[in-house]
Amino acid sequence: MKKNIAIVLFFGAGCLAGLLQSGKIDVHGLSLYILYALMFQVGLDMGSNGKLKELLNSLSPKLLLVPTATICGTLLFSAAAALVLSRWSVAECMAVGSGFAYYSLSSILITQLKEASIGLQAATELGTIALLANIFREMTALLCAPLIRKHFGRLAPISAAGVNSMDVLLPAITRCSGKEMIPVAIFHGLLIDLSVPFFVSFFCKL
Amino acid sequence: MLLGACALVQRFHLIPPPILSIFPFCPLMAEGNVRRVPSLCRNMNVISCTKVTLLFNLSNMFTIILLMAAGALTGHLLRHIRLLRQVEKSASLTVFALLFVLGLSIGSNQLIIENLDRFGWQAAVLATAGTAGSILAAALVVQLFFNKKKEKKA
Repeated sequence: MKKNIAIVLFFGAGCLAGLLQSGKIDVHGLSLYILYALMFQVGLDMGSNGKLKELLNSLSPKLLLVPTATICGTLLFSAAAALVLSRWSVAECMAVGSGFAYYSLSSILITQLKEASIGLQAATELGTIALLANIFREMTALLCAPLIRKHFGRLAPISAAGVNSMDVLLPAITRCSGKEMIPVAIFHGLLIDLSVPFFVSFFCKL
Repeated sequence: MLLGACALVQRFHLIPPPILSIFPFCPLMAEGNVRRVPSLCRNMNVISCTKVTLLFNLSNMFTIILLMAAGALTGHLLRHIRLLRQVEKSASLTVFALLFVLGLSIGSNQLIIENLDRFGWQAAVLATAGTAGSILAAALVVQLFFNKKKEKKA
C-alpha cells in the first residue's frame, strides 16, 4: 500500500512538474539513463544473491508459454474491445493492444503506418489512443501487481506488465511473485519487446 | 550506443534524417514531429520507419542485456559485500525516479493533455481489455501447466 502511494505521488509530481514547466527538456535521454541504471542494479541483485545458477537452470522451454499467453490474451480481448469501440475496426484495436504497454514505440508506429490507409487525422487519433492505452496498462500493472498476483497466480503480474516485465515492473514482480520469477520476467520482456514492431505493423497493414 | 547506431544509419543515408530525428529524442509522439516529415519522404516512411524502429529497439535491448550481465558479474564477484543487499531498495527508488520522468514527459506533452478527455475512455477500454486478457491467459497457463510442478514439490 505504501508503495502504491509512493508510485502515485512520484508519477503525479512528475505530471504536475511537466504541466508547469514551459520550456522543453530532453526527458528521453534522462529516462534512458535511469533505465540503464535500473538494469545494472537488477543485474547486481541477481548476481549477489548467490543463486545465479539456480535461476539460470530454471529456464525451460515451457516458459515460452508465458509470452504466448500474454500475446493471445491481449489480442483476443483487444479484438473484443472493438465491439464497444465502433469507431475502430478489429484490426485497429488489435494494433493498439499489441503495443503491450510499449507506449512510445507503438504510438509512433501506428501513426506512421496507418496514415496511408486512414489519413493523417485518424492515424494521429489512433496513435494517441495507443499512447494513452499503453500508459494506462503500465500504470495498472504497476499499481495492481499485488492484487493480480493474489487472485490470478504468480505469472499474471508478468503477463499484465507486457514489455515492462523486464524493467519498470521487475522490482514489483520480484516482490509479489518471488525471486525465482526474475528470469521468466526478463525472458518474457525480451520476447514481447521483439514482437511489438512485428505485431503492430502486421495489424496496421491488415 | 543508441546514438552511435543512429549515426551509422544516418551516415549511410539509409533513412532520411527527419524520420530519424523522431526516435532518439522524443519517447512520446509529438504531433509536430510527425507533421514535419517532408512529404517527399512520406512514401518511404512506411517501409523505413519499421526498420529504424527495429534498429533502435534492438540496440536499446542489446545495451540493456549487456548492462544486466555486467551487473550480474559484478554482483557475483562482490557478493560478500553487505551493501549489495540494499540494492533491492535502491532499485525501487530508481523505479520511482523513472515514474517521475514518465510523469514529466506526459505532463509536458500537449498532445496527451489536450486529448485526454476526448480519447481517454477509448484508451481506458483498450487498456482494460488488454490487461484483463493477458491476466486471464496467464492464470490459465498456471492452472494448466505449472501447478503440477508445485504439487510434486509439496
